Amino acid sequence: MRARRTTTVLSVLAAVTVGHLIASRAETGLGDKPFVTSASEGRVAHLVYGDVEVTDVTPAKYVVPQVSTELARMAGGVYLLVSVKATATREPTTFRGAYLVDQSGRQYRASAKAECALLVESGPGIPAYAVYCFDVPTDRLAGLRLEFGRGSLTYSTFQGDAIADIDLGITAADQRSWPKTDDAYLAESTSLAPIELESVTLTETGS
Amino acid sequence: MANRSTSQRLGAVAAVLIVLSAPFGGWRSASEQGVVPLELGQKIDIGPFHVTIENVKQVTDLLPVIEADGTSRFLVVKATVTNHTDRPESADLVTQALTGKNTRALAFEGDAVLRLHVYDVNDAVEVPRGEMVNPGLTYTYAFVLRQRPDVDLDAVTLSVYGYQFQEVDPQTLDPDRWVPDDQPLAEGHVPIEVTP
Repeated sequence: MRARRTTTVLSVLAAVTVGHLIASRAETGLGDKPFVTSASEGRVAHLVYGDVEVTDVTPAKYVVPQVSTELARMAGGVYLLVSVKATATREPTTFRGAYLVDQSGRQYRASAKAECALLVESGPGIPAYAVYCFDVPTDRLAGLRLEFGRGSLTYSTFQGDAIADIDLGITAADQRSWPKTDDAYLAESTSLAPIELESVTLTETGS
Repeated sequence: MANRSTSQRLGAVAAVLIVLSAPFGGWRSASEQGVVPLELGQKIDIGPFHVTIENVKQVTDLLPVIEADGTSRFLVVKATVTNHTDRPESADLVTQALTGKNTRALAFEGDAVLRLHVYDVNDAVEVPRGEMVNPGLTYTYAFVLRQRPDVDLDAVTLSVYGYQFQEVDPQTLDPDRWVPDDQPLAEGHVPIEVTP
């Protein structure tokens, strides 16, 4: 009798544990790998819901807000200004996921402080343009890729969705030279027209 | 084992589970780690970040970001912050890890609640709440607290709390979150330089 009760208790515990595991994976989608379409800078990645292209990658030491009275933002490492053209192909789409990934799989997110794009929205067939400003350690530039897609509103994942995995074409030579830059550019976010980065000459504040 | 009662068997199973959970932190509690005295220049691993408090000053202004208002004092904790994980982590985790006692704190004008304002020392730009720090990056931040002018600086103690990593929150199913410890990693009075 006691053995049967123990078996019942253990069975219930096992069922609850398995149920929790299934529910947690289903809720978060953490176990679902995204469907990856590879591309490189200047080449379009065709996803089931949109086309994505990295049109430019520029290093900078400073990003300057559009409001002229605000102070320039200085990178802790080096800013990578990644220009992206995204075009929805089926329905109005918000591209929320934009992360850099290095050769060791470490993920980097765009800086909110830099006041560049954090997401971009596109209507069907209407290209949208965005500039993302990533602050990246100077010794991890070579081989960086942009993972780009619809993303998740809640978690920093792509939850089994289709994404573009775009090689930014940063070489070992770039990694040696780019950290020496003192260049400053005006912060850009999103636009329905192609964005040209505007170089800025910094002036010291009085205090 | 065959002659043990059910409760004894369940107890044995629980003991085995606790031992098996040790590599994942099940064996460790905050109280066992102990609270060490806080010192300037001490590198503290709070979980997602290494935090080193370089100095603490009390000032009447912090130009170009904070102007003197005639009465308030500002306690400025200057610290280097390094994300030593392999993913972006919120700078808010560092802000929330810093607390103090006997600080006579005031809310900044325009703030509904009392909170620290955080500035990047290298560009004097306020770090927006929710800012993510990418892995491998180090910043020098100024954590600024507004104070009453009658604060007794010799009585001020600061604390630095740590976090434990939780892969999945069993209640909310939120993945990969940092759970704050119940007691600080380091605590104590440090020298405060006063700049009139």
